[in-house]
Amino acid sequence: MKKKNKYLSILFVTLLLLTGCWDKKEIDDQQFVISLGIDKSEKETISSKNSYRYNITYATPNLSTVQKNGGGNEPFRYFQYVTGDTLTGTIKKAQAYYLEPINFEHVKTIILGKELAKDKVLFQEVLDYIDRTPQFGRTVLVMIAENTAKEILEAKEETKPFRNRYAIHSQDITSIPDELIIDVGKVLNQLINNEGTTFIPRIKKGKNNLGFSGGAVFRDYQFQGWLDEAQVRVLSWTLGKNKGGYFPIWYQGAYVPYEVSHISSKVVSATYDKYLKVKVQIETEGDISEYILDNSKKYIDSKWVKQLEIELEEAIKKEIRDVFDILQMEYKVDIIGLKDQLKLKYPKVWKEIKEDYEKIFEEAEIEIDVNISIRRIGMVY
Amino acid sequence: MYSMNDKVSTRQVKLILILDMFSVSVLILPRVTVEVARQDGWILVIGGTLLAFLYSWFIAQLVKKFPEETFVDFSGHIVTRPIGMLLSLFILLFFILSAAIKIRIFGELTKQILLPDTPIEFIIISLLLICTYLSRKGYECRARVAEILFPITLIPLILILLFAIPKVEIPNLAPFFQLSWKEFFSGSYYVSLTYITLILLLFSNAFVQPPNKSGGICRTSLLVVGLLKLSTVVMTIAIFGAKGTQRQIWPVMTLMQVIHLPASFIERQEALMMIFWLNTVFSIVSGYLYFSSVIVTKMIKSNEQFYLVLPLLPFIYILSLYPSDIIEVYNWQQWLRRKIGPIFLIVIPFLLWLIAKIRKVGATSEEKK
Repeated sequence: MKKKNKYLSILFVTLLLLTGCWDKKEIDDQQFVISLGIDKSEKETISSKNSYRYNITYATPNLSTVQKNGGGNEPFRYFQYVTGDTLTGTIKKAQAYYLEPINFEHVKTIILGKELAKDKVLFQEVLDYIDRTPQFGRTVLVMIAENTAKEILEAKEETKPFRNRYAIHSQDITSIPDELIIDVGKVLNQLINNEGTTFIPRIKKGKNNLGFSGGAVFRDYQFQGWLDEAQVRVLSWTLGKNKGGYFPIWYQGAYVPYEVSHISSKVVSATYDKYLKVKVQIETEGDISEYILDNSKKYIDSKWVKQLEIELEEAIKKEIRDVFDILQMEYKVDIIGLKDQLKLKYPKVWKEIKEDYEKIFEEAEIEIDVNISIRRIGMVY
Repeated sequence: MYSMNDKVSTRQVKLILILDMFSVSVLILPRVTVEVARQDGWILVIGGTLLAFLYSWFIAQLVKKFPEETFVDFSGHIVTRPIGMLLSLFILLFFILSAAIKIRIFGELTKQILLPDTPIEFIIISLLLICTYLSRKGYECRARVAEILFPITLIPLILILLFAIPKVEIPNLAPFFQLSWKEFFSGSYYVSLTYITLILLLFSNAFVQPPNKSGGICRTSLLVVGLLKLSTVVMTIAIFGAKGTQRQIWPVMTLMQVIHLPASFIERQEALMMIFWLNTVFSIVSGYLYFSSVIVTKMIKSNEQFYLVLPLLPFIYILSLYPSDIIEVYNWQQWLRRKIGPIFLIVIPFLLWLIAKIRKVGATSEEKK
């Protein structure tokens, strides 16, 4: 009898184990979203009482093409389009259409449409949603589309479609300059800590490819304007990043590129007396990788290098000056990391100016000192 | 079963204390410190831990006088049995309420991060039942469990903190030392209250062999917990900035989302982290449950403790589900910690120690020699 009871109890316990659980997720039944595009709906007129505010495009991978020899002519990814009033509502709607739960845990890229980025309220809503929803990781890359996010996601590239080449892993992306790799966590931190100031890279659709070019500048959560490719490059110099970047200069009858192998930037002095006076020192090391094949010309010698260094310094200084002018006068936004440096190194100065920093930055006198060293010139003189 | 004599070694008590002190409070600690002292929040952790050293000294001195006795017994000796009983009753209520809040916070987080479709009632009941199972087995069992949980809880945590180091941005901590003295003291005082679980020592000392090592136990475990809390707070503020930390309900959970493990090996570390962190909640809730049952046992002068655990469950369960939302739970927690905590952590141990000294009750250190 006792033995029988024992067996029975084991049976009952097994029953409990066989019931499964509330939160089971069948992997086949999930739509794993890889990239998410959010656009402002064309029908959006007034922000309230409108059930068409967002256009969401999301891409889920076609799992059969992921396998080694599967796929064939099937598309790499499937797209879903849906329109709704709030992001949550839109996603619920999508779930109702496609009868499969949408899973955002594997999102790699979020692309925001241009019009959405320009709408302050929608922009704030989207970023709050990303921050608030636990499904989104903070390492998701975020970028702004030149036109619409839908267009970017659908774009076909010559070799393969935009299959998150940019998204798999930051190290894999050789084509993106360092300063353009911005994940959503960083954007959120900047927005929250710097009164809605941030920089988000722009992604552009070419004829048969996609590429990054420049980015958008925000102040007070409001879109201020674009910075183009060259300006972003210069911006990254002042941030002390852009290792592996280059700077071309017309020098003695040839177009010479200067390849940066090491760069650092720091504020070396700061004083405040009616207006802020800052000196930024940028030091770089790099190589000359091209000149011209012409035996009648003089070979590269140390004088040539010295002269080139000086000319490069002048040219770069000028470009930085131009970008600073745009940032100070036009966009009135400090995305050059000056605030952080002042806080860290000149707390006394910072204490005086922190109340009215935005205005003081606008009028600040920023002196730029560029110090360039050319270390290598390749295999020939 | 071998040596089920309900005696544990000092090393085991240290492990239990570390797990208990490092539980729920660390998840919100960065936000709390930032609210008081902005980017200098981490200084408060140092101040708070130093204050906790002071509190622990009184507690250690007090329990030293009464080895092999729990709070219920020796408070009776010091301030007559009826008052001692009353104090014990208050502590019992405090334990039950604390357990309820801890378990609710745990339930809310699990629901949000791991199990969105599971009813919170079910999450709470299952954790309560497993805590009951442990508590029924006595203090020795708790110690053994702590020994197992300790490495599997803290090693992953430290690893994850190491992975987060590349994301640290020092300018977020600057400018340094901007807080006023007033903020420093009030903030440190508040942080010191997160070490409320030190009062478990008032009870656990009776189970420790040898019994008069409480001072050393407190110092070691406070040092370990203090360092862990300090590094967590520094990292969180340095990654999110002061304002960013303030926005997060669970800054440390979000900290886990920041980490990018190589090759997308694991994509949602915070779920993984939850599992480790669950261990500390399990430890603290079973601790509260166990000592609650001990208090009841002593109060009704029963010989057995285990059958008194289960009757406590309904109270904890109902209380844990009483607050309507997470913000209300947080308010309860604040109230309990700020208004009630100091009474048990500071006032009662100090007064009892003073009275015991004046009335010359309990063993003095000279007698033992």
